[in-house]
Amino acid sequence: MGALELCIVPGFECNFACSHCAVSEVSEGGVRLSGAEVGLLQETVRSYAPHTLAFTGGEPTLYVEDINSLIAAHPGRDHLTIRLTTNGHFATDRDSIVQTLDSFVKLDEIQLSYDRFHSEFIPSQQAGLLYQVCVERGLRFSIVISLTSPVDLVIARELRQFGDMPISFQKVLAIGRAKTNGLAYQYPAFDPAVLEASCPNRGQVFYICGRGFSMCCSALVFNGAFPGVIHPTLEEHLKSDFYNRVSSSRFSELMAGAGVGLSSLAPQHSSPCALCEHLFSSRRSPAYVPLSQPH
Amino acid sequence: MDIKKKVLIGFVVSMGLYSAANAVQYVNSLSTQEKESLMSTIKDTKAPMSVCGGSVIGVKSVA
Repeated sequence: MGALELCIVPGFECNFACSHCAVSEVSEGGVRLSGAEVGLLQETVRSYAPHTLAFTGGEPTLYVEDINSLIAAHPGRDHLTIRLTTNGHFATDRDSIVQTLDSFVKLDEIQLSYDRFHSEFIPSQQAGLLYQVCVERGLRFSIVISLTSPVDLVIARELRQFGDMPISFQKVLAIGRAKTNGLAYQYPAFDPAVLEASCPNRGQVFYICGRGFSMCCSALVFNGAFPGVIHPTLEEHLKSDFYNRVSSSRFSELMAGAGVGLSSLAPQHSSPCALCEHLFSSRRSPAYVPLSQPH
Repeated sequence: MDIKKKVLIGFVVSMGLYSAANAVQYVNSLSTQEKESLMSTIKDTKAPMSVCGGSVIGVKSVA
């Protein structure tokens, strides 16, 4: 079994319109995987046999057929974990939940996105019902709450009435609709602790519909063109300067490589993704030294 | 600094929401209602919660 977790965005279509959505304004890559992309991903899954296939979006339950074809391509399904990050739109009643979960040839974990933004589209009771059915069927279940500030965590109280499911929270980034609507998580001042952190996506690679493979799922992929960040094949990406640098370096090292000084950092750069975007925007600095020659 | 502020600062820091310095500034900026809401959350949500990095499309498993 491979050492990687491969996360796939099979499409950008969603049946919600959350005001904080990171991928809502991405359209130039197309709304779903092309036939060629499905073929490429099937071959990638076959060759690399990632230990986990995670599907997100958009809303992944709108792309069941494509997802099933990718799961079927995996050579070791008994040891494979399938995870779905969903908005839970189908959790209107037990039958609908069962029908949706059963439509996947394999499913191990449901990660429900639920926060004050998603709550405009589904009531918390649906989150509770989905949790209950997942527990009954032996599926792992967790909730991800997007935060624009710590106060947004209060929705966790409402969710806890349904059980002690694991809850994680994610600080909203200045990407997509969140950027347009000014909903990014705010920092009072720059926090230097971020310099000793590294990219949170270590061990993961993403396939972004219509774009390609990248370790980045964030600003470098969705906020304009950053050369060398996305590659047409997984092999090319794993050999790239970007992947080798970001997967092995702390942000202080990336800063040194980019020739960026502390004086250029603002409070918003306390976010690893915002800091990374800032550093890679500075790659044209003569101080930047690539690890290898560009292809 | 009153005990409620200390609890809120401790919570915000322990959950990885802010560094200690930023947490003090943040808590000082909260309204009374916001402080009460957060305090209730601290009391009522005993089961584990954790912070994730990356964007919303890239959340690692916490289940």
